[in-house]
Formats: sequence, structure tokens, C-alpha cells
Amino acid sequence: MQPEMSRTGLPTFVRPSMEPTLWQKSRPGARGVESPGVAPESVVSQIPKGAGREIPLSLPELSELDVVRHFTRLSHLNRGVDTHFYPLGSCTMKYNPKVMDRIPEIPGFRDLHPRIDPDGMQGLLEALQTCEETLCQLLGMEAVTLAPAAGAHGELTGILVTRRYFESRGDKNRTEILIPDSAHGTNPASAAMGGFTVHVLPSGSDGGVDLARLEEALSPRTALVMMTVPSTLGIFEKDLPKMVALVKASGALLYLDGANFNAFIGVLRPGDLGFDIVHINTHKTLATPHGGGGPGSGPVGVKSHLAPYLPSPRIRKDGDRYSLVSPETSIGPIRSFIGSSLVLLRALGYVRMLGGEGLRKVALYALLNANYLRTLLSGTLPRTGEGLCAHEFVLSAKELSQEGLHASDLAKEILDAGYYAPTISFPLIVPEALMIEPTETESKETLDRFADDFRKIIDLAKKDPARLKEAPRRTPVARPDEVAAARDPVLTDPASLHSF
Amino acid sequence: MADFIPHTAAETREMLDLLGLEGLDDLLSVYAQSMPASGLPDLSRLGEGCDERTLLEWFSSRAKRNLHAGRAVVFRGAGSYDHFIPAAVSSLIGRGEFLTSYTPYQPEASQGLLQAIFEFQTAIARLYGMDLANASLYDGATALAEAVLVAIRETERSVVLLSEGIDPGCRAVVATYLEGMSVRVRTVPLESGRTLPASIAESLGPDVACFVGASPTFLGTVDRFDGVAELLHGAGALFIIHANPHTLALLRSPGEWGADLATGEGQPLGLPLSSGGPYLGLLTARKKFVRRIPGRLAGLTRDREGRSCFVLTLQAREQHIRREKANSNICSNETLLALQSLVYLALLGPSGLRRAASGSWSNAHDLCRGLLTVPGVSLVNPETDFFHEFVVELPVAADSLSRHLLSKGVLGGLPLGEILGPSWSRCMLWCATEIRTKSEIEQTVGLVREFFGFR
Repeated sequence: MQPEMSRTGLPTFVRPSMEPTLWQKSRPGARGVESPGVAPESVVSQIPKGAGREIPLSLPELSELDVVRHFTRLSHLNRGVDTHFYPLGSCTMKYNPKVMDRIPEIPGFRDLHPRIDPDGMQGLLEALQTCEETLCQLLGMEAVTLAPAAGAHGELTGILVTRRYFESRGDKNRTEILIPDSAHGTNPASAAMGGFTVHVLPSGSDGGVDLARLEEALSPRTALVMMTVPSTLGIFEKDLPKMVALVKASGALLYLDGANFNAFIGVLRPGDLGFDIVHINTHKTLATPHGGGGPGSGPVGVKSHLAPYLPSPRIRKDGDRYSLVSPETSIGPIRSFIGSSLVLLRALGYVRMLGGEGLRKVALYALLNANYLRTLLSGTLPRTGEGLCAHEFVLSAKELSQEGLHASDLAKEILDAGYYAPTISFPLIVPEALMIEPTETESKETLDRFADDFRKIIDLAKKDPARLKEAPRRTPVARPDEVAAARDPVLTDPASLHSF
Repeated sequence: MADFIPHTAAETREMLDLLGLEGLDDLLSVYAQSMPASGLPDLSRLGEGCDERTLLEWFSSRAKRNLHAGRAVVFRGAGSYDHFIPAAVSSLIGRGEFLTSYTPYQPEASQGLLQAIFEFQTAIARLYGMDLANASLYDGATALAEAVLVAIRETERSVVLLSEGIDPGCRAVVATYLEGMSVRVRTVPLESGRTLPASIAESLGPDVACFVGASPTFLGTVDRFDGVAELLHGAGALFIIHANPHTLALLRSPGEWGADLATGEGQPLGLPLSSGGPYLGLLTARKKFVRRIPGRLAGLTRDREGRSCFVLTLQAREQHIRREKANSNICSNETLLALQSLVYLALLGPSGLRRAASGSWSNAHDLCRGLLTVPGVSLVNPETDFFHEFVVELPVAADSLSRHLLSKGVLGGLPLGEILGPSWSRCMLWCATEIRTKSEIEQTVGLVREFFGFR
């Protein structure tokens, strides 16, 4: 196949061939890895009549090499931080040190049964309690639960803790949670799961929470105010101390969505700022790669008045001995076992390796890189917010709508330039938003190159908008038909049904 | 001190100059109004940092105090299972293109992961005998809780029936998830380790959203659900089964029992014991619930040039679009572990998975026969078949035997008193998987005999 020539006269990329599915590659009778076990015939006869599986077990039949090549080829069709700059706003796609990948491989953690008697897990409990204490230090909180499996799970935990707290005080009127319109979608979704009514706070003209609106919305019905600082616009609330004072005066609790912890780690502590509850996403700030969507973990820190309600089990230390306890005041377990231990150990490892000063440097360089890139991009598209930004910033591609272009078209052209794309269409309050978060681990060289390419893309968008509509050309596939995908969803491989 | 910041001093200077700043600390003006009078926090307790070697030594020295599977032979399950994991699993999932990628919002640059999620959904749906599966939830317990929420939304009813056969830990998680709702949970008792349709019928009423059964039960017994789907559907309620995926290689699948939704803990499919997490929540459903279920879904479609490709689909169910009206708050899930279990299933194939499950059954039955030769030890629920876990009653408190075995390098059955109450304090839940050997089983039976003073 001859390379197609683009309008600029440069050859365009020839898309690599796609990989057939496991079921399309399946060869009846092919054997993979030999598992320990016994021939099924001897067992099937012992299974009581009617309790045995009658439908086929339609898993693919492949050799070990078939499987290794399949997944290696799939990996080639995917971009990660290890292969590309990933300026995906609000996701903190930074480089996570490879040494942290070694910690979950240590057999004493990897192969430890969570229901072993406490005597057999003293090392784990010590490490996890050290992790709790470390996070208390970083967050300025008095107790931390490691149980939540992700940020949204941490939110639900904090919300259920809030519910218990007011119940314990006999206050049944606080049924409402206030959430700014710029918040992550998980905030209102978690509030609803926790049985609260959501009251949306509209942003002020600067994209921050409007103080007057907050005051107006606070009432004896308000249980919790959930805030994200810096906000998803990369703006740190100037009036935060006044907001904290207003919320405290109303008797409501104050929650910090710590998704943007990377912006202030080692610089500000949520507890010192007056927050009662905070969750952080260890997969954003503390050295767990995103893994294509998890696993992460979402530890929650609280002030002492909320500690009794944290999920069970809790780690207790008596002298030199650690044990697990389930206090009666607890909201109960929110997941199986103690927590996502192997993820949490990585977080602890990262803090130990960087130390206090190293963590502060993380925040400073996250700010430096964001502000540097934002300045390099000035004059391309209008941005939200004046002065310095925090760890990320938002541009609006609204002016390109007269060329018939959306933020998503820019994103596709950015993919072609050899990057992952910024977050698009979020926050919802900025039309045609492009949210850019470079993180501290990207070099000046990378940022300079990205800024050059971004500028060229904006020029191209103005001169030849039709070309952007054809992007991306250099990726394994062109734009998928998302409408067709949702109209009649095909969620399992048809080949898995007819080949058996 | 390592910090993974790539800037040279000269580059930092150039960047600050562009911003018109004297030093890095000038950036902190962003936080000026909130900076406490005391200034930056004291981080001295977090230490000065260390190198890789020192770091790994710290963790290794803690790990030495843990009796992991390499130091104490595992005859315990109860939600976490010590299965064979092929070497190729970790080398494939460790590839940076997967490990360091984000949720595949940009499908053109994420086809590898999207196809893997699609294949995972396929493998899990087929294993459970259901129409579809999602891209994963946090763990088995939260997957079950989410399935119960689907039933509550679908039926708009307020009573949930949970079989006593469900792991009490999972039942407690469901209760926590329902904390904010006016929903009542009723437990349907087991009779001889099985659910009797009559017991369900007794609790059934016009306000019942669903019944959840377990296969196998927490006690290891193989429960049956003959006529249960018809009974529930007749009353307008949904049928959910929480099933261990390892056992489905041989046991009747939730789809065959007529379940509307089925959930499970994916840990037995290629995930190590992992000190309890992260694990993998499996959620499967009939096609008609596709717009009700939570979590990511990868779907097959075509690109503009007519090529088959994959996208995240039906996102209108999710929190980033629907906010407080979303099906769930879930965002990050366990995608990499879903990939891990998919690689495991692909490497073993149908014959390998059946062989492994048969090995578990066979070893557990050998272990059980051995333990029952010890005078005073009896099988609980002897009239009902079990899969790879079973409960025995001892003449003494189970804790003491458990401690004794651990001191001899065996993680024996789980003492049930603390979990199920004092009446179970002499009961122990044993498990044997396919990787236990004849000699490990014989030695363990020997240790139990010795503990009771027999030879």
C-alpha cells in the first residue's frame, strides 16, 4: 500500500493492522499454559445432578506464544506516560518511579492472605499504619482510613461518615450537600448514593465559588460542602478562608476533594485550611500508575471528631502489637478486607523516597510547568483565570466554532502530533474546554515542543479547518462511530458465541 | 534525595525568567490568602528521602514479619484464594503502554486497552453464562452492592433479600452502601448449607426488589436455585447470584439458573492474594439491564474508514455525564486487574480452567476425608456437596488449632467464631486449591491429628 499524500505534501501514516480478537484467533484443541490440577472427568461425575455446568465454557484456545503476541500487539495500539506526553487535565498523568513497581512484588506482601491471624501480618499492619500516619502528616488530619478503593469511593466514605456524625448528634435535618458546578461528576454522584440531595453552587465570573451564592445556599439543612481546590479550572479559591468561616458558622462540615493534591502537596495541609474531611487519589499524586483506569486508592483523612465513624476494620496498635478492630460507631466496611494494600504500599514508598522536601518540590514544579506551558500558549486560545494558575489550566476553543470546529477536533490533531490529548469538554462550565495538566515530571524540552506543535495546530485550525476534521490520521484507527456503538451496543465478541 | 523532576538548574531559571519570577517560592503566591501565619508546614517527620536500595530494604524488612504463602501453606480461602498464576501474566500486564495509560477516553490512541476490556467483558459474560459484563468494579463485595442498587432502581422497591450463604463481609458492605437509603435488608437462612425456595417465598412480598444467592456459599456448599428465578420473577423481583468465577468452570452458571444479574470476586482469576487488595469486582447482566448497570463499557463499532474498532460506550449512564443522576459514582475501577484476569483466562483456556477447578475440588475432598479421620472432627452440613471449601467442627475452640498450625507453617482453616458468632467457635472453614500437593495435605492432616494427641 502506497502512503497517501496529504495536502501539505507530506506522506501520511499508514495505519497498522488491527489485532484479531482472542476468539477470532482461537484454534480448537490448542493448549496454553499447563495448570496444576486433575482431569475434569473424575470430578464432573461427582457433581450433583443439575448443579453442573451444561453450557459450553467459551474461552479462547491458544498457545502461550499466541497469547503473549496478542497482548504485546495490543499494547502497541495504546499510549501511556511511558510512551507519550499525556497532558490530560485533572488526571495528573505524571511519571511514576519504576522502583515502586517492585514493592507489590515482594512475596511478603504479594502472597499474604488477608484473613491470616494478626500474628502473621504484623509487617503489613505496621507498614499500613505508617502509611496512615504519613498521610495524617501530609494532610494535617487526625485520622486516616486506607479502605477506599478510588477517589469516588473515598467521597462516598466521607459522605457516609458525615451522615453518621449528624445522626450521632441527633441532627436529622441536614439532608443537603452543596457542590460547585465546576466539581468532578463523582461529587454529586457520591452525594446521591449517600442519600443526600445535591444543591449546585454556580461559579462566579472568575470560575471560583461565588461567596454570596455560598452564603445564600447554606442553611440548617446543609450537611456538607464539597470543594475542589485548586478547582478544576486550576484556580485556587482566593476567598477560601472566608468560605471556611461561613461553612463552619452554619454548622455544616467541609469536604475537600483532593484530586488536585499534586498542586499543593507539602505546601498546604487541608486540615490546617479548616477542612473536616479530605480524600486523595494515590493514583494521581502518590506513585500508582493509572493502569488504564485503575486500580487506584482513595484514602480519606478526617479531624478527630469524625474518626469514630471511619470504615471498619481499623488498625490498632497496643505496645508493639498490631491488630484489626471494628468499632461499633463505624459506618461499617465499604469493601472487602483492609484496603488496596499493594497500592497503598507504593504511596508510602513514594513519600519515603522523596521525603518532605522532595514532596514540596513536586508541588512547586507542578506549578512551574503549568504556568510555563500556559505562558507559552498565550495568544493561541483564550484561557480561564488571571495571574498565575495552579497545576493546570483551561483553554476555550469556542472561537473556533465559527470554523465548525470543536475542542475534540483539536484533541484529535494533538494525537497526530504525537501526544495524548488534553481533557476536553470538562469542566462543563467552560465552553469547548481543553484542560491541560503537564505535571512536574515533564521536561522543559517536552513542554517547548508541545507548545510549538499546539501553536501550529491552532494556525492550521484557522487556515484549514477541514483538515482537523480528518484527524487523527496517524493512529491505529480513525474516529470511531460512537453513535452507532451506543445505538445497538455490541459489548461481547460475537465470535465467542458461534465458534463453540 | 530523588524527586523525578527532570529540570536542570539552568532550565528552571529560564522558565522562571519567562514567568518574570525570582524564584520557585514566588509561585506560592497562588496560595497567599490561605497560607497559615506559621508558613509552610513542618515536614521533618516525613524524613529526608532515600535511594531505591534503602527503600526496598525498609519494605523487605517489614515483609519478613508476614507469613505469606511461601512461608505458611495456605489452606484458607473465605474470599481470597491461593491459585496458580502463569509467569506470562505479570510480564504482559507490566507493559508500560497498559500500566501507564489512562481510562481510554481517546479511543484512537487507546485501541489496545479498549480491545482488552471488550475481551474481558466477553470472557466474564461467557463464564457467568450472562449476556454482558462491565469493565470491572472495585471488588466482589462492592460489585454485589452495586448490583443490589441496580435492582432497587429497576423495581423501585425497598426490601432486599440476601442469602445467609453470602460472605458476611460482603453482606456488611451491602449494608454500608444502603446506609443512606430507606431500604431494609432481610437474611434468608440456609438449611443444611442450601437455600430452600420456601424460605425465599416466606420473605417475598410486593416490596421486595431482589434476592441474592451465593454459589458456592461462604460455607463452601454448592447451593441450588431450582425454580428460584420463576418464583422471584412472578413476584416482580430480580434474581442476583454472587458466584466464585473459578467454580463456574464446572458448576451451573448464574445464566443457567436464570439470574438477572450476577457478580463475583475476580481475585481467583490470576490475581495474587495481595494482602487483601486491590481485587477485582465482576458484574454481569442480562441485556435488558444494559442501561441500568454501573461502570465502564467497551463496545464494538466501526471507524470512519470502515475498520472495526472499540470505544467506551453508553457513557450517559456515568457520573461524568449524568452527575447526581448517574447509575453510580464509580470512575476509576480495576482495569489493569481486569486485563490480568483476561490474560490468565487466555493462557489457561477452557481446558486449563476446568483442570484447575477440578484440582481444587479434588484436593478439598481429599483434605476433608483426611481431617474426618481425626476422632472428634466432624463435617458440618454433610448432606450437601461442597466445592473447594468446607466446614468442620472440632472438639475444641478453632482458634487454638489455627494458632498451632500457623506456628508449624500451615495457614489452616478459618476459625468462624469471630465472624459467625460464638456458636461457631469450634468450627473451621477449610479450603484447598489446585496447587496444594498430596504431601501438603497429608502433612497438614498429620499436624491436626498430632494437635489432638493422635498419631
